Amino acid sequence: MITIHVRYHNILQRGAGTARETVELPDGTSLAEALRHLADQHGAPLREMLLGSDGNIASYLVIFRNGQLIGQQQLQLPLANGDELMLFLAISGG
Amino acid sequence: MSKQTVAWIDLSTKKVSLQPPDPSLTTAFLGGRGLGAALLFRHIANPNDPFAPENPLIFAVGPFTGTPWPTGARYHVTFHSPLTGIYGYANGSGFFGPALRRAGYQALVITGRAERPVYLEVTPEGIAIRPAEHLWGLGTVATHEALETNGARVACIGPAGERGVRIAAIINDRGRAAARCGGGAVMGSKNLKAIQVRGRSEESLPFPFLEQARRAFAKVRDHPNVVGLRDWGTVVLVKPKNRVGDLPARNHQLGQVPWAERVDAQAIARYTYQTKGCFSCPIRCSRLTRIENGPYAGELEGPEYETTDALGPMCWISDPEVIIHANRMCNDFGLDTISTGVVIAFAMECHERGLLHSDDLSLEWGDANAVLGLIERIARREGLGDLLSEGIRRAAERIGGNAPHYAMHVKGMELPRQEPRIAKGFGLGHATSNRGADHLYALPTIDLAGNLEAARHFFPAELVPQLMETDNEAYKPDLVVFTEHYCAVSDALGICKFSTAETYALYPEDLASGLSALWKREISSAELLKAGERIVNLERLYNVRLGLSRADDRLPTRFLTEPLEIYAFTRDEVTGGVYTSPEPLHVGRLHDFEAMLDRYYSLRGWDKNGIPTPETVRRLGLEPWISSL
Repeated sequence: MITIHVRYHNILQRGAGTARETVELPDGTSLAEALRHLADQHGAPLREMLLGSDGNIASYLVIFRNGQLIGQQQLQLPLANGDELMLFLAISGG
Repeated sequence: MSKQTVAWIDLSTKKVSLQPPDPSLTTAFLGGRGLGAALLFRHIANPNDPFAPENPLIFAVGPFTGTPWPTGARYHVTFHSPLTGIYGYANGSGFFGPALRRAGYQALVITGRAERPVYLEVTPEGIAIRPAEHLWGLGTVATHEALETNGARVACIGPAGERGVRIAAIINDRGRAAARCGGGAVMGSKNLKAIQVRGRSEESLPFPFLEQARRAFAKVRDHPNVVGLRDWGTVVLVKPKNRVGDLPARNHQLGQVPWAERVDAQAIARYTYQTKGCFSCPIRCSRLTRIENGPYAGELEGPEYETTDALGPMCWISDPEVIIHANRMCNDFGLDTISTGVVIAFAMECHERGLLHSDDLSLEWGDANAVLGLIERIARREGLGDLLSEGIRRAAERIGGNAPHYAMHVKGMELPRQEPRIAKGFGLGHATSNRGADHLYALPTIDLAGNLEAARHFFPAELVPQLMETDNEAYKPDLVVFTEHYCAVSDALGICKFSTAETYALYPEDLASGLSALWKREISSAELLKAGERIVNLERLYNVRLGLSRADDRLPTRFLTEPLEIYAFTRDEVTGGVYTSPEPLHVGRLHDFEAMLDRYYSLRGWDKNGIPTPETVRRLGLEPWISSL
């Protein structure tokens, strides 16, 4: 098992009902699987914020892993024990 | 330094004179918005009458406009605003600005009033004033059809500008707009229907600049923050904004709609038949949409996010075809879609509150006929439209009673499509903007976009955690001050903020490297940002000269007195129904707007009343400019 630390920012904090949490996951869990796990654990409304209507990770989710911005192509990479994820729901100007 | 010419065109005397650019102005203010601000500051003749013929209407390009620099597509129009009565400008993209530069012009300074309608024919050989009586009364699409000959690019007004509608836009390249502050009405007051430009690309640019531009182009093209804009256009914002409560609806009585999927990016995509980019743009966020048949059949560029919210959720319109058609009508009449949607939403709320009625339109929320009918009446100044064509502040004053409370504006300009109780940096930026409420004056996206990398790059580490909290007001002033400078630089260089302050695909360091290579002298990013600060301060001084102060840096009272409840929406996967959470997820409110304003002024080196101090004026080299104050 690996332990990861999750920090929710702004509206995600309200969706999760907490600013941070620590979760245990099986070895080899990918980032995408970890996010689905969080969505399942919390249910609505966090699920609606993390996942798009197609069930994929929402395109407007901004993810930092150990302080580094993660691109969509890196979602399938396995997490490591002690990883810290920072999650933002991105909106911008107009 | 710029090799282009400044053309002074007096429509009263029909005299055109060409002058080389003033190097001192270009050094201090770069070009585009900075040059326009400097020229207007010097040459405004009658600020009491925005339509006075002697007042200038200034079209200017930046040093990157029309070059291969990514997004170097923008032109700037500066004028004394008939909507706000203060400093005004509008900024447009497409291909018109590049054509102006390639024809050899840095700026067109237009004064006077033609006896009869005219248009300008601008070529490298010179500028001719041509009769336009045959074009007067035409919509902007028909005007383009008439003037887009032999590769010409066109900027023009529609019937709204001709009639002095104070929210009239200037439309270029058929579907692009320099929309805000009523520049179309100033153009109309000069009997100037259009500007037709034919450029030639004979300019030889330094090889190191071309190399820098090539690298910058790739950087923007490959940046992850532009992907959503490229794939979906700006309407990609509808869905996430609705989640957080930043999708203003019913004149800001709400920050969300339960039917966002009817007007979001996927919905608009069903009508999109082609994506489109402006000149030298690797992002290509624009959409060409078409409705095949029915009452709204037709095609044009857009709608963008701002338009979609203004003519959609703000008026409780959930039919994308109505929004697309309303956008097309505004474009053809030559109306600012933000101001038009907001003034209609205002009329609908006034009706709801018993303050306003119309004999022939329902003014009920969500009534497409009311929205479409009012667009036409505003453009033609007919009936209730005549009142609304004066802009929201004047309309509210004339309606009286509590109507000003429902008028969403700052300094007389209708609010763009952010919710200040949620997007607090934007709220502050709307209030402090020197052209009135404006999402592009500051564009403080870093916290909202979760752009931690930019936050770490531009702000002290100890500020970053609180700065990134969207609801935390402590360092929103720091964010707005920085981004106001960065936006001023972007506008002055003639580039799109989707490559800078929206996405941070490019940093000021990138722009400084490019400008250094173009001008063949070293310019640091600090110098560049100081030029941005100088522009913001000159714009402020223009308004100070008119008597503006802290009292004008105000948000509408709704945002200061009414909390905004934000709910979670859940879709039932079986029935497809949308359920609203029984309790609000969040309540948006401004905790201490005055404290934000205090810190903003302090960071700027302005006094408590919002006036630049003598030390700030000295530091920015603006002393010669204030002898008239």
